[in-house]
Amino acid sequence: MVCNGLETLTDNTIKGILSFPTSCDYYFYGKIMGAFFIILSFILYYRDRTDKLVLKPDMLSCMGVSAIATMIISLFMTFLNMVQPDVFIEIIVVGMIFVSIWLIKK
Amino acid sequence: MASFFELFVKFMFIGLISFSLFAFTITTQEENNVDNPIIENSLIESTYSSLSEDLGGLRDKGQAQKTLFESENPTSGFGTILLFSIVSAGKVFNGMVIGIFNTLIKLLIVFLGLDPIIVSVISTLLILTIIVGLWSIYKLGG
Repeated sequence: MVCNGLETLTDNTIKGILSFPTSCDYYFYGKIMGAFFIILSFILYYRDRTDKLVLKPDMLSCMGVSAIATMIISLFMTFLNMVQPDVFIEIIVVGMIFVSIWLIKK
Repeated sequence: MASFFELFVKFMFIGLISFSLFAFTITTQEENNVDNPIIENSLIESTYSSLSEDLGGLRDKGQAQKTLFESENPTSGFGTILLFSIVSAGKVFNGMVIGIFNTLIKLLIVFLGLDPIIVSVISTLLILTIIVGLWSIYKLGG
């Protein structure tokens, strides 16, 4: 994939600079949020595993909590046009699946 | 054994959390003048209003069923007490579970392209769980 160079950047505001990568890859920040979700889930899970107070660590609950955090951070990213509306809706829908599974399993 | 009460509580919580997420997102985006808020999407708007309608009507429906339950005179049956109002409560509240499920599954079908076969299997599992749960309520009272 060949993307435009920074010399083509016309909007020099913070909003413009931050939203520049989405002109090349529409899912740029969507992928970052996906990676953030996975990393946060594992951090929470391994923290629970090493915590002696938690008798049985649960991956699904960690994923549910991470999904809520990812959705809220994505919401704040929409203010700066970083996460595009369609991508944000997909993040919300996928996040709601994890939250629903977490609540059903509980 | 499937417990209808547990299923109902779980679905109401899922509906409530989904509704809260939508409400928080829509309000925050409105207050911060986001260029393309998600409420402009017709499906998100219809989902939000359906959830609001379903959860908002819960109190009235619950109250109506409570009044019906209180007004009934129990009849003694073979080793049990017969209360037909529990059947009416089961019919009303299982409709709410199905309603919330249908509202939320539409999002998955449209935005994630969920296959109709998967939806069909999940719906069947849910309906069977509801039927078994309701039957245990009618039979044993809980």
